[in-house]
Amino acid sequence: MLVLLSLIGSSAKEILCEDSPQKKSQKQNKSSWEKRLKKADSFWSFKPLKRPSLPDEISSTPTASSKPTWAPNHAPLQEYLEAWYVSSTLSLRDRELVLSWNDQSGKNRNLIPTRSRLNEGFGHPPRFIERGKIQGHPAIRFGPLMGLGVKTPTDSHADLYKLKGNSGYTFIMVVYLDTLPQRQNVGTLFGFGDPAPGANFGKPTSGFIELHPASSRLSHSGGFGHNAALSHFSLRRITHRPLVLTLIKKPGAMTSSTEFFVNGQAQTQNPLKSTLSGSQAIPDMRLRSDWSIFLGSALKELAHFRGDVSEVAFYSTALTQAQREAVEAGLLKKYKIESSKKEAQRTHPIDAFVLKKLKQARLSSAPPASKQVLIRRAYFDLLGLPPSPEKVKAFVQDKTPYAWERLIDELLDSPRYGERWGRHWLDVARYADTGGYETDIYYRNAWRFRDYVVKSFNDDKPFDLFVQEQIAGDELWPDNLDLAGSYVIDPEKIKNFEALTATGFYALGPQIHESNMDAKKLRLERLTDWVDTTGSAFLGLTLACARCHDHKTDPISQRDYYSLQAVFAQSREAEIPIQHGMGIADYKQHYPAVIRVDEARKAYRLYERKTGGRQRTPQETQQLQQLKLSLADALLSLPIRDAQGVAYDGLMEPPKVSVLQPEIEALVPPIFILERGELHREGEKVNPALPQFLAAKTEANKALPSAIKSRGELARWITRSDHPLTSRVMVNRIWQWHFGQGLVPTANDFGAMGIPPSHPLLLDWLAHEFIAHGWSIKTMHRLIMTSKTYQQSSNFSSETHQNKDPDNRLLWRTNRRRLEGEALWDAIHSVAGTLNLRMGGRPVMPPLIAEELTDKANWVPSQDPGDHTRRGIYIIVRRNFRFPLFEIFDAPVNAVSCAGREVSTVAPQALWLLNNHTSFQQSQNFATRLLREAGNDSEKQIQRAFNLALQRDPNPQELKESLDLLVKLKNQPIAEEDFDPLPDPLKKLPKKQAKALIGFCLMLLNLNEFIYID
Amino acid sequence: MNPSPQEHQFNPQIKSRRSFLENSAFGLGCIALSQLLARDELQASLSNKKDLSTSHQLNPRAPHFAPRAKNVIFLFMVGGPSQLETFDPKPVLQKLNGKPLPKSFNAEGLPLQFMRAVDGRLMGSPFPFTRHGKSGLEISSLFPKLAQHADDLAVVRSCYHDSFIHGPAITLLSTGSVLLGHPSVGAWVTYGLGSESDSLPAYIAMTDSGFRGGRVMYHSGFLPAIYQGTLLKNEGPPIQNLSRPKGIHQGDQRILLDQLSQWNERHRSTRPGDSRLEARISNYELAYRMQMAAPELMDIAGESQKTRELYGLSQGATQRFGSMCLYARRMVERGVRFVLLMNSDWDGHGECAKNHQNNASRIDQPIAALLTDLKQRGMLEDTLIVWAGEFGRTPVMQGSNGRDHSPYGFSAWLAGGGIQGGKVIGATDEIGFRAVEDKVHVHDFHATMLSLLGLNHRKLTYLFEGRERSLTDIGGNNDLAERLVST
Repeated sequence: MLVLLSLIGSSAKEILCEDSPQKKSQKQNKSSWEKRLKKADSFWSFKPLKRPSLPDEISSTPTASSKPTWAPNHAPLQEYLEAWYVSSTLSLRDRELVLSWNDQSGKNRNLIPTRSRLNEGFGHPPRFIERGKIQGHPAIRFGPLMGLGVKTPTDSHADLYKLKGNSGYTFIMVVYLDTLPQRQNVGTLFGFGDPAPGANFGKPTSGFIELHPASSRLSHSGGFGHNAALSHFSLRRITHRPLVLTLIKKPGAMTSSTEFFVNGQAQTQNPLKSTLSGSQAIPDMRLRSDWSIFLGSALKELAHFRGDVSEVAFYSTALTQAQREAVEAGLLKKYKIESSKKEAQRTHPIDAFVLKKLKQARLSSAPPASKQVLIRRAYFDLLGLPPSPEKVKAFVQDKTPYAWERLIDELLDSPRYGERWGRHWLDVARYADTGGYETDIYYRNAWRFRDYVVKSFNDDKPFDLFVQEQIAGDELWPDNLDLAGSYVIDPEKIKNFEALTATGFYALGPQIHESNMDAKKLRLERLTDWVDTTGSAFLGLTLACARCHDHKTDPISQRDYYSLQAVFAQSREAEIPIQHGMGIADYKQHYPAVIRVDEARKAYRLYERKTGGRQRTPQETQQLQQLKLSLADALLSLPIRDAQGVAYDGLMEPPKVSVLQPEIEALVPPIFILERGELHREGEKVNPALPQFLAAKTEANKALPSAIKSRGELARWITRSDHPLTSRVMVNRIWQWHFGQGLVPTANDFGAMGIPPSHPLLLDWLAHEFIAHGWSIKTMHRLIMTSKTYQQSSNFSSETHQNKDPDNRLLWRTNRRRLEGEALWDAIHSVAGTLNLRMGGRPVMPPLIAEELTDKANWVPSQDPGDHTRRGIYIIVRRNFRFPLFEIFDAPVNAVSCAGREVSTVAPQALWLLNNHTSFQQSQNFATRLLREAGNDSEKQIQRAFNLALQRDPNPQELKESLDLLVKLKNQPIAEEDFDPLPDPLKKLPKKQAKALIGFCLMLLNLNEFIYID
Repeated sequence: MNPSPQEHQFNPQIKSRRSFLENSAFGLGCIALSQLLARDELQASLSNKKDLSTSHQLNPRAPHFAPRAKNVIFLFMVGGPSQLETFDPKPVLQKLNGKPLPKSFNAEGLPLQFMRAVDGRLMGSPFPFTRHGKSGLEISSLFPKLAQHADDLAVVRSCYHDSFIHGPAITLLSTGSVLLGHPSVGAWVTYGLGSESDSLPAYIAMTDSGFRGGRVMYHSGFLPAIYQGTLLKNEGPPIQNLSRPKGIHQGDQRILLDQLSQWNERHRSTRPGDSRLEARISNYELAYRMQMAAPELMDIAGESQKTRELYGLSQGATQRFGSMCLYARRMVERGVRFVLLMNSDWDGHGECAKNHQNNASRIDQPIAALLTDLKQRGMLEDTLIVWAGEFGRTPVMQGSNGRDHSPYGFSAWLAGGGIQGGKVIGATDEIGFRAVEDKVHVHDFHATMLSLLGLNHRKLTYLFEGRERSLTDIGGNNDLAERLVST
């Protein structure tokens, strides 16, 4: 590869794209192509993805464990095994509903969705996930409304369970828990017996394991009459990691004898407080006849949990230590979960990889950043917003272990997260609301794709699913959205609709208006955009070169390129209505309202013409005025929503979404290889197919390279877990968005012209983890942010470091980040207290002043003042005219997928922050906020201002200088016309004082410390 | 490998010189400091890769070879002026006026916007051509004043490309590609040569009305934003955010800036090894200077009455473009590298003659004045003037007296920058439809412009999306520079 790279270096132009004067002999071309393929065979990014060993795994010799590993139904335990569920015994398709999870204990206690099948049954079916979050093992994914329960036959309950109020029992679960919203008090993982609270005599015994979102802890409650509740058991993190979770209750009172274990380690930091009490009598399970064992919200009393479950075992005895350890060891091994003991001993894997490289380069790494720096970093990183002073204070003072982990969880649960990270993906998706070029045609539905992206990030939609939906949501989840005569919309339909919306990815590319005049050219432009963007965004390959000739450096032939075009040629863009059948009928019912507007306009125009060309009489002018008013009346009477409550777009336009749809077969145009990419030089006809070389790199089908039929197949192939590129490319993007630079700095180019990874093993390990955790992006955030590498100080350097590794590719410190345009906009408004957090909807246009506008006609300022301070992601993205602040601060060009934004430092940025009306207005609002929150006391105002803008206290010197500054500014002359009306309560201050405070606020917003995140 | 312009050798003395400058009074050392910083940053990343620490700067850079011109004034005639009414006389066309297009021109299937070429009748030009100057260069009666500079102009009559629609054609002429996202010529030039001004943007665009191309015409595309053109307004504040907010006077701002720089300096001093922090500090001083320099640039009160008359500032028709031309001279005087002046709109589908008469009357005197003025100030030698539209127009008639778009053969001219004027390069066919002799594609035209500035279009590259990109893509072989400057 080095040879090839240096060759490129010598004069890339000539080699890459030379305009070959004469056609070289076919033979020569062929052999050089074969050479290229051979080289590509050993190229890093095309190699199969294998989990690399961790640096410290290599050194530590696996201690031949003498301890036994048992299956849950190991013979001595069989007798007590009351129920046993194993996800791998299910033969369901991915994402299929679980309508029954059969018991493997031999006692036939099968779990079923309880809704309408049990008295008080509430649980909807969960879904089967082929590669779940527990190291990629199959799992049952639980979420809102979902729950399973065991229905016991009424006639045989007498000898069903051996459980009495004072019995011992053991519960083991292989689970991956997601966090729950803080507002949900509790979620039930598992339970048996009667969940009803209260000391109602005669209730049977019960036991429940519950998750408490606010504290991310588990508790155990139950006992006879449900009258014992153990306090939260652990400070250890139990969410977002695969767990073998064990609960053992020994015979007798719960308090003294109940213990939790996480991955083999006892969790006993917290004293257990309550006692088992109640009746002398010890009722047993027989008092409940209909149901007995639950997962999730199987009954209306039980709240749901979110997460993946791979295996559950329930014993009617307290296992001994040796038994427990043997079963746990078996499960840990089976699911490749690290034991807590081992985890505590080793370095964070990311750090292990990073430290190894640093050690090789003989470079030290930076010390850890302070908590103050960390919370600011985490907030801007995950939310793109500053933390409130109160949050900073609480976090800095929180000395409990795992405070950092809890902060990360909290931020990932915020809806602001999707707005921040969705914006990153929009860069990749070359998102815009218009088509660009001279006419900049308006895509009125593009924002639905934007909202889809934000939602997908917030939902932590598995990335493979996210990709599949965008490439082929219409094919993979086909749905005519027909409601089959009901007002109730099936959740399934909503999901399918979401998948359909995702294909908007292809409907918002750049488009030349006039090329509509030349259908062939238009199609070529579109197919080029679709194929190139697919390559850059999902495969991290620049395919574009292969449009004109076989790729000069990567194993993509011209045939491959046009075969991909042929895949997309079977699709067409379409706008489909979002209303359901009733809504459409409502629209038709109310259509005369539109005719009324049209007629009112006609009346006006007619009268205008009739009386035009001369001086109108006063009566005529009045009549014309009257006609204008009727027009306005007609407009105002247009319904805003249909009778189903679905809002119309604009002027009673049925809301629609732009999507891809399969083209009618007879209309699919043939695709030819175009010589030198020129439209009129058609060569051989090609069929849809995967890129040959890459297809052979996956095990998709031994008979590959095969022809494929559709985008659906392409999407499935791209998201295969053995695809060498997809996971590597995405984890690299995630890394880049965290660190400012990817392990591969060329995020859209994993080919030979890209820059190879600084840490190839780390990249592969991350990619492997990504897939193993069900392509969960939030899991990657947790993984990355809990590393020491992420938590390093940025404030560190030395000559040696600078000389050896000026670009910090070895990660010897954290990179200081400058806020992007959107984040800057958000931060300014957030600090000023004016940020409007309303989500989604048609893009907004905050007012601009004349000097900022090159095209006034198409800038229609939003009329609701609340829309002027929405988050930056909601401001319209026109290809031909960018929002000035974003333009100045390196907004992507969005003609093609953007691999990473430039970070320029130019004078217009300084001018914007110093002089722009927004910057100044928000300084006024900031000053107003200070007055409101800190009163009319300069010291307190300064203190508050520092807290709000910089997330820290001023030091004594800064305090003094700030006070001096206020005095200096106050002593400056002012003029009466200096002020537009000031907001309350600022206007109550003496003008000179108000002006000084505004100036001080303006200066804070201009500080390097404000715009750079350490 | 030939170093691209942003690569400089690491100079170990820089660090110590910097600390010296840091210790001296802030304002004084500022300019020198920022230039040193620029070089510092560049040495931080010699790899010419898009890495985190690569921060591009505008300090002047040496061209690849000895240049003929240092600055460019690009007069972009938006809408597509007709070659047949301006610089490409066609006696045969005049003769065939009203006749159908002869079959021999083989125009069946040739795409035009509104018509089929074979359907139209030929239309001669209503504007007679006469020979001018010593060279006898033929220029139509539309440009009587410009014609007085005939001996300065080198007319290229054989420009061509194949985009017959405004949007893509403007994008092509501006950026070398019909696709969005590519840098404009001015951005490439600024990337190659940097700026000579420490208080004005290196690349400025102005327009006399709304224009079709939008920001692609002066955008930096995939090049860093620092190379982007700044659109200067004719009226009101010329640059965005140049005027201080109401209530913040110059004195107030100075107080704020002094405090800002003190705190920014303190912030920086505890954060070693991050040159962006320093760059941003110096940007505030540049912004402060720009607030003075830009209004000064636009304030033409100091220009003599003679000059004002020369540019036609007191006449309605020429006032607008005249003032733009005068600003252009003032910009070049002040070190602006690339000036783009847009005049629109030449889209003569309907009454082509009337449209062209009208446009010409607005630009003829101002452009002639610009040439005169630059010459008398000795600036024409260093300044390349380019006049071009995105395409020309058809010899066949559209409607009763219009012409449709034709990119297949059209005229442009160049002057100044060492060009030996009074010459014609290339030719179209007998009716002026297609370029047939010495064909000059847009890429060739761009290569020529770069050559005159001392830049090799094949070496002025930037790595983007896996390819070393250049203004001329895979074209640009017919570099006319030598022919333009030879006598």
